[in-house]
Amino acid sequence: MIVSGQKTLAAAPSELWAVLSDPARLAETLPGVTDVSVRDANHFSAVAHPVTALGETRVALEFEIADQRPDEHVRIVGSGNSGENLVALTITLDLAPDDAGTAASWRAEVLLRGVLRSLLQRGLGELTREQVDAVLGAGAALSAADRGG
Amino acid sequence: MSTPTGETTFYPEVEQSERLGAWSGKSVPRKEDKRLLKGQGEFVDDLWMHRQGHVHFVRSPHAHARIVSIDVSRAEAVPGVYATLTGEEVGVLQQPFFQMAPEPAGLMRDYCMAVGKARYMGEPVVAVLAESAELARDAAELVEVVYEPLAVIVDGIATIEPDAPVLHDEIGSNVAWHGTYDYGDVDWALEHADHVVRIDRLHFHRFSSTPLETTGALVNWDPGTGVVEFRSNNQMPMFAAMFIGPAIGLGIDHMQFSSQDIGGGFGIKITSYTYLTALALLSRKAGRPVKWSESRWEHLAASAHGNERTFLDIEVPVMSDGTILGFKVRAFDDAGAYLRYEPLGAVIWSQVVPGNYRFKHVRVDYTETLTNKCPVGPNRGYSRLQHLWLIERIVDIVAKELGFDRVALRKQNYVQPEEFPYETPNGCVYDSGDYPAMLERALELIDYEGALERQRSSAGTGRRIGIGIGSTLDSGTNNFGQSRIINSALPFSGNGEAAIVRLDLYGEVTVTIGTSPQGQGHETTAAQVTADILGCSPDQVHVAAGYNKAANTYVGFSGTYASQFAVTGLGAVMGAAERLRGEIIKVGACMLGADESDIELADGFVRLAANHEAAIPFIGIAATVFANVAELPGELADSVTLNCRYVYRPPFTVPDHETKRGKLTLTYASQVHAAVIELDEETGQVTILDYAAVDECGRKVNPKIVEGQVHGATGHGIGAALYETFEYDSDGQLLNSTFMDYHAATSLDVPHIRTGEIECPSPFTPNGAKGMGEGGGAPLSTIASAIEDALPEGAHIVYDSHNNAERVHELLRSAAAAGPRGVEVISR
Repeated sequence: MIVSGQKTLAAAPSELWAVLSDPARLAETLPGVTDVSVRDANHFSAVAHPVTALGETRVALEFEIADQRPDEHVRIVGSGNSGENLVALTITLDLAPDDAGTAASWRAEVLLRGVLRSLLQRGLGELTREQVDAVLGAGAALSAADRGG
Repeated sequence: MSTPTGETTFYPEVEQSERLGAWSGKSVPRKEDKRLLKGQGEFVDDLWMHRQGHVHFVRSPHAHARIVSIDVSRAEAVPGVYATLTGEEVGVLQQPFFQMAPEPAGLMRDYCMAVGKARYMGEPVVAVLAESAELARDAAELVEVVYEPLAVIVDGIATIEPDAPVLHDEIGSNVAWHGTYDYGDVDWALEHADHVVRIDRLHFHRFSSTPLETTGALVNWDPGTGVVEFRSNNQMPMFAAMFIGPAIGLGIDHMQFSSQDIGGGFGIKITSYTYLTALALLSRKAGRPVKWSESRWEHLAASAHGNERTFLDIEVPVMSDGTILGFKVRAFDDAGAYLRYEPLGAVIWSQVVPGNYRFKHVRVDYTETLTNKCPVGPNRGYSRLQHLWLIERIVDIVAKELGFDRVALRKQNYVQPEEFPYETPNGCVYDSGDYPAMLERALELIDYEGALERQRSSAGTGRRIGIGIGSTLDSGTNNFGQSRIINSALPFSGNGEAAIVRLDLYGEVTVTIGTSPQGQGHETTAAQVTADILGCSPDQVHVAAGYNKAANTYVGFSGTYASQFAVTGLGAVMGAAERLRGEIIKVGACMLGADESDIELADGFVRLAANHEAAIPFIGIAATVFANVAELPGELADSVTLNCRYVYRPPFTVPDHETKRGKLTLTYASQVHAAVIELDEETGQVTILDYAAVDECGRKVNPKIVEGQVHGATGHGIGAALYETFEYDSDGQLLNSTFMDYHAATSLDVPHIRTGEIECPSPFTPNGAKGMGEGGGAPLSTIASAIEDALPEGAHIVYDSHNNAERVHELLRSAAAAGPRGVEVISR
C-alpha cells in the first residue's frame, strides 16, 4: 500500500532534517516503540507493538536511513517480522522552506504479510498517516526544544 | 450399469426391517443434548494429560517462498519452552504423505510442515512447544526464519500457463489431474439441437465451514510402548491413519484414536492428519504429551477450504419444446497448494452428472490445478455442490434466454417420479424421489403466486423482487471404487461401517460404532433403531459417546463424512442388533422351554408371544450367559456371546476406469429450495424476504434431527451465497483470515426458513433412509437464481456463486452499460 501526504511544520527544514536523519533522535519520534537500539549513523532497531483485533503483536524492526540530502530529503527503510507476520516499509520525506517553517511531503510504501495483511487492510492507510504525522510532529517538537522554544 | 445386452441393472432391492417403527421415525429428544446443554461435553480443549505441553505453529507470511534458514535458538532459550520442531527436521523424520493422484502429481512430496519451501500463506514452518499456550505463542515470535520470496500464482486457470511459477518441482507443472468425462454423444446433441446456449464463464467461489470448535488435538507418543495416542477432533480417523502410519512408520496397532464430542466438522476436519503427524513427531522429540488448539485465524487461513471451480465455454443443446439434451463444459478446480484429499474431488462431482435432470449427453473436461492458496478439503456438499450449482445456472439461463417458464422447464426436464430407480448417463443409480412434487411444495411455501404479484407491484420502487429456485442432490454412501477413476492403481472400492451391539452382564444394551459424530445425533438414532429391534426403549440403550479405537469396532472407511451414517452406520447397528436379538431369543427359548418361533421381545423382556406372564428380563438372559452358564446346554453356551459385531457393506462393484462409469453412490437425497429476495437498486444489497427448503431423504429415523440439519445446511449455503468468501490478493495474501472479514452467517443473517418434506424411501437401504445433512448447496443456486430474476433486462448473467452487494451492484449497472452479457444463443 502506498500512502502519501503533506504537513506544514513550525520548524526550519535544517532543524527537522537534523532530527530525522539521526537514528538516535529519529527513534525518539517513533510512537509506541520499545527496545530502541542504535547501531551506527544509519542503522537502528526497535520493537513495534501494533494493536489489532487479535490483541497486541510484537514486531521487531530493523531500520536503515538509506538515502539523504542535507536539509531536504531523507529515505528510511524498515523491515521486520513477528514470526508469522512480516512488515516492510519505505518512507520518503522531502522538506522545503515554507512561510510557516517547513512544508513536508511524505510518501510511505507499506507491505504487510500474514494475518496483519487482512487485519489492517482497511485501517492501514489511516494508521500510516497517523504514524507519519506523529513522527513529523515529534520531530518539530524536538527541533523546538533544540532552539530552547 | 448396462449389461452386454443393454439391459439396465440396479442394486438388489433390500428387504426392509419390519421391526422399525416403534421408535424410529419419531423425534425422540437427543440423548447427547443432556450433557451438551449443561456444558458437560468434552471437546479437544477440555482434554488434559499429565506433563502436557502446548504447541504454537510459526506460519509462513509468504504465499510462496524458499526457506533460507530457521533459527530457533532464542525461542528454545526461553525458560518453559520444551522443544521446537522445524521443517528441516520433518524432512528427515517423515516420509512424504501417500498421494492419491497418479503421476506426475502423485510424485508430490507433501509433509506435515513446510520443508524447504512454503507454498501458501499460513503454512506451518516451525512448531514451538512450551508449558503454556501463551508462552508458546510468545516464544514463537523469537523464531527467526529467513525467506526468499518466490513468484506467486493464485489464479486457478493461469497456473497451468508455461510461465507460471511451479509449486512442486517434482511434478513439473501445476496440473494435479486432468481427464475428460464423456457420456452420451454431446457432439450429436449440439449438432441436432434447435438451440445452443453458450455461456462464457461461471465461477464457484472459495469458502469453507466455520465449526464452533476449530481443529485441535492432544497427542502423546508413549516412549515405553511406542503407542501414539491421538485424542483429536479428526472426523475420519481411519483415513488419517492411512496417511500418518506410513509417513512416520506406525502400524495401525500403534495408533490409538479417540474423540468424544466434536463441535462440527463438515468435512474439513478430515485432512487434519497433517497436524496430527506434526504433533506426534513433536511429542516423540519432547518426550511429553503435546496439545494444540487452532485459533480462528489459523482455521480460516490454513485448515482447509472448499473447492473453487471455474467453468468455461459452456454449451447447452436445447430442443424447441424445452428439452435440455445435456451440456459440455471445461472445468478448472483450484486445489490450492497440496492434494490433501484431492484429487478425489475430480471424480466425486460425477456422482451427480445430470443433477436432478434427464440430461443424456454430458462432456466435462476437468482439470484440477495447484495454486499458492490454502489446500482444499471436503466441505459440506464436497465437489458436488459446485457441479450442481453449474447445472442450476444452466437451467435458469436457458429458461431466460429462450423464454421458457423456469418452473415448467424444470418440471419437464426433471427425472420423473415413475422413472426411479433412474440410471444416469455414467451408470449411477438414483434410488427414489419426486422432484416435481418437491418443487410444487417449495413454491407453495413461499406463496409463489403472491410473490409474482409482489414482483409486479415492485416495479419502479427501486427495490426489485426476485424469485429463485434451486434443485440439488445430496448423494450419500460413497463407493470408494470411484477413486480408481482418477487413479486405477488405488486399492480402494466399496464402503462399509462396523458396529457392536451387546447385552452386558446386568442386562444393559450397549452400542459402539466406528463413526466419529460431530453433532449429527448418532447416540440418539442408533438407540432408536436398536430399541426397535430389541423391543426395548431407547433409554435402555447406551450408545458410547464418540469414537475410541480401542473400545469401538471399525473398518477402513470408518468415520463420519459424506452423508452416510443413516445408511452405513445405522445399517451396521441394525445388523448387529439383529444378531443380538437372535442370540437373546435362542437363550430365552431355552430358558422358557419354548420354540424360538414362539418368542417375542418387548419392554426389555423375552417372553412367550402367547403368554406375556412367561417372561425373562434382559438381565436374566445376560446373567445366565455370563455368570450362570452351566445352566445352559453346552452347544447353546458355545454359540452365543451376546456381543455381536456386524459390518454393513453396500452392494457396490468396482467402477470402470476407462469409461468412467459405475455406481458411485448408493442413495440420493434431494433438496428443492425457493426464495423471494428484495434487491436494493441503489446499493446492491440483497434481503431475503422468504425462504423455503423442501427436503427428501427417504425414511427419517428422527425427523427433528433431520430438520436441524436442513436448517444448518441452509444457513451455511445462504452465508456462502451472500457473505462468506475467501479472497486472496495477487501476492497470495488471504484477505479474510478473521471473522472481521470472513462473515459467517449468524441468526441475524438467516431468515425464517419454512421447511417442507416429501418421503420417498430408498429401496436399496435396510431402513429406507438416505444419507443427508450436506444439503447439496441448494441455497447457492437459489440465491443466484433469485438475483438473476431480479435484475433488469439486458443485465449480465449471474456468473458467480458469491454475490455480495458490490457484485450485485455491478450486475445492476451492467444492464445500462449494454455490454456483453456472458451468454449467447444460436438457434436453427
